[in-house]
Amino acid sequence: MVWDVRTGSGTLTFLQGGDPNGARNVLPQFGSPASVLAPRIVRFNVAYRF
Amino acid sequence: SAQNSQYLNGINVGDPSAIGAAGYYYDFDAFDDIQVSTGAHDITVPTGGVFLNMVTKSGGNRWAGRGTYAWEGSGTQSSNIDDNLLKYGFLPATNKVDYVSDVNFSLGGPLIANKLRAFGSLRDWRVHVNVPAAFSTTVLDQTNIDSGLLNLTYQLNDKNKITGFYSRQRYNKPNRFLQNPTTTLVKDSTSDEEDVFNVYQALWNTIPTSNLFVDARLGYNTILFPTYLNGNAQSLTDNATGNITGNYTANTVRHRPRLQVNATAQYYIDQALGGRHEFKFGFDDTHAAGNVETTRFDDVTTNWNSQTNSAQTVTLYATPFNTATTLDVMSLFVQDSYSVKRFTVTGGIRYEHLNAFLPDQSSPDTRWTSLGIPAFQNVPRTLSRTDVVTWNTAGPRVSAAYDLTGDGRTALKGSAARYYYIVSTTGLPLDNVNPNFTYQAQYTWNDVNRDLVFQPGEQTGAAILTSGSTTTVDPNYRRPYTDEYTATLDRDLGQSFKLSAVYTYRREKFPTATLNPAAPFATTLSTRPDTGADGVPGTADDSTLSYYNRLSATNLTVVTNDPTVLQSYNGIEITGTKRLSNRWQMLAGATFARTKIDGLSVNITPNSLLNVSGPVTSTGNNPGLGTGQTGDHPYQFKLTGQYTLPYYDIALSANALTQSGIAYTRQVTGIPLTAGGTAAVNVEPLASHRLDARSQIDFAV
Repeated sequence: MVWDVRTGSGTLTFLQGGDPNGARNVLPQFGSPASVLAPRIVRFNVAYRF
Repeated sequence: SAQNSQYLNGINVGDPSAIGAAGYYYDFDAFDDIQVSTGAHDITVPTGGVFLNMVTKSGGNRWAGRGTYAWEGSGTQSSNIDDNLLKYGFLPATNKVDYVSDVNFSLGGPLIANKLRAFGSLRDWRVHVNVPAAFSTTVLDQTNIDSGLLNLTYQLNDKNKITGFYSRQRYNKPNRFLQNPTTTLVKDSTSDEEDVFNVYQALWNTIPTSNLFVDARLGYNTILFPTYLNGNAQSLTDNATGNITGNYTANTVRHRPRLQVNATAQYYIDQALGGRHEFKFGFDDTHAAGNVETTRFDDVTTNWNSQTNSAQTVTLYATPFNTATTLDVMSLFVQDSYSVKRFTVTGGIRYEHLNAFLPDQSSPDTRWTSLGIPAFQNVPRTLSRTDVVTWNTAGPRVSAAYDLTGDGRTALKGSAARYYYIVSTTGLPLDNVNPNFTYQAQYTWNDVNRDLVFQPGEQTGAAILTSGSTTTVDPNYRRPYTDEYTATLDRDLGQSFKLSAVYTYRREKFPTATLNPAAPFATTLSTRPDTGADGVPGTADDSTLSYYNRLSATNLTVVTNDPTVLQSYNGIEITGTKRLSNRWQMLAGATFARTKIDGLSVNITPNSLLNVSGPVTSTGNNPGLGTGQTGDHPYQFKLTGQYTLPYYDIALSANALTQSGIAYTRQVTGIPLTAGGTAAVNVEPLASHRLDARSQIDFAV
């Protein structure tokens, strides 16, 4: 996966995986992602004409 | 997008409140033809936005049908929530599809040979996605739509055809996010949406003479659009983050019926004044209503600030409201298309009489009156019919086309037109001047027991009253419009290829704006510390920001126009088209454009006039624009194509898009004001930043 996060300054505390009981990560705040790889989606379609 | 026109079988099916959007969800497999116009519209098109007309299948001379099924599940989507995002608190299921399914069955054919044909379609489609919500939670956002339609076509004789159409849809969305981004709501502050849409249509096509064709249409649409509260507590908004907890701000049940009647005649004269004439004339009449039932949990919304851990404001509402609005528009149009040798010129004019008014209506008493709250001792509960705006406008349109090379393969075209805005049956100006819709008082909130739940008596200070009684319409309020100019060069390259270059200039004039004639704001700027982009005081990016303080709670509103603002679009689009032949088709396009706004001068608060000139950004940075603005995109490239294999007609298709990122501006919100309430200001020039370009590619088999 390709994520490259631009960082500003100052830190915030985040919960690992959003789990209220998970580890707490003290990390720099991020302004916006530098690049995003979207999910790959496979969708199945069937059509029948008569 | 609010000025788009959505038609079905030649009848306007637009939502009269959410203008620019259709009043129901399209069953695409039921369409025989889709007409799209992006500019230089025909005289029958009412507004300047994109025009879409969907034509329903009617069945042929033999029975035929089609069944389709599409499915996507959680196991057919890869995840892009990597370790880095997990550290930042993203849940693994963020934005993960639970499942998507789409089932359609359609059938058409002759009920009576050469006389009566029928076409019907049934569809069930579902989109279930895990949507990120506040505090690193996710909510399963389910959208479930069922629809059915029937189209009957009766050929009376060679010159007369009658069509009857009916469609019914149910739309169920138990956790709708009514605020963006979705990470500002929790499950309790989503809304339960359960819509029902009906479309009834009758069409008559007749050919009275060999030179005269007439189409007459009657349509009646009904929209039931409720969003019910999901929570069991007062709605609480955090001014520091925008998060809403407890409940959404209102429980709203909306009824939006629309009656539409139109008739268009086309008369051809082969030779007159040296050329051929094609006259088009007719009328289009709209009667649209908006009936809204509004309630709120405890009839309040509350605001606090998590950074200071303190309550800030509380707003008391005179709910429940049973509100009614009406919009009538009668349009008359005439157009002549004159062709001589290689030159064709088309000129027409569209006259419209628009009347927006509040019909007789009433609402039950509000609890705040019986509790003795001073601001609620004279709340209007009964309203007699009130005219709000009446406009008479005439919009001219002219276009010309010239066969440059004389072989019918190179066309030079130009057009100029003025399109007048349609207004919504809700929002500005109708709701704002309706004391039976807008009546609320905002106070400073002294949460003495610090439970973040409002109890009567915790409101303090002077009330900032917003009411339809305190809102008036400027007698000089005029109908906003769009002027559009285009120049086009088309060249047929042969072998089903075409190359086009189009230049478009649009300008929006006299948009609706509001001002407070009591001038409650200071005329000189105040300053306060700005912690900068990092939001942390004491770092290198700290500075000061400027804003206008509010000195008085007097809250009067006048609905008027902004006479100086100019929003403009300048763009050139180059497209290459390969029509379907030899099993393949393709469309490639490049657009270079600038969308800008300058000269904003009227707003209810002067803070919304700071740093607002430049490229158009999101709605939040351009308060004068209203909703639906997608912003400035300096460039876009699109490529789409399809190839059908000679084996079992298997089709391969691909779409690729690259688009420049939207511009944005840093904004500071929640600035406390002396007279109460808060302010939001752009603290740097508009569009100081731009997100990265977006690229995507899709393949289908």
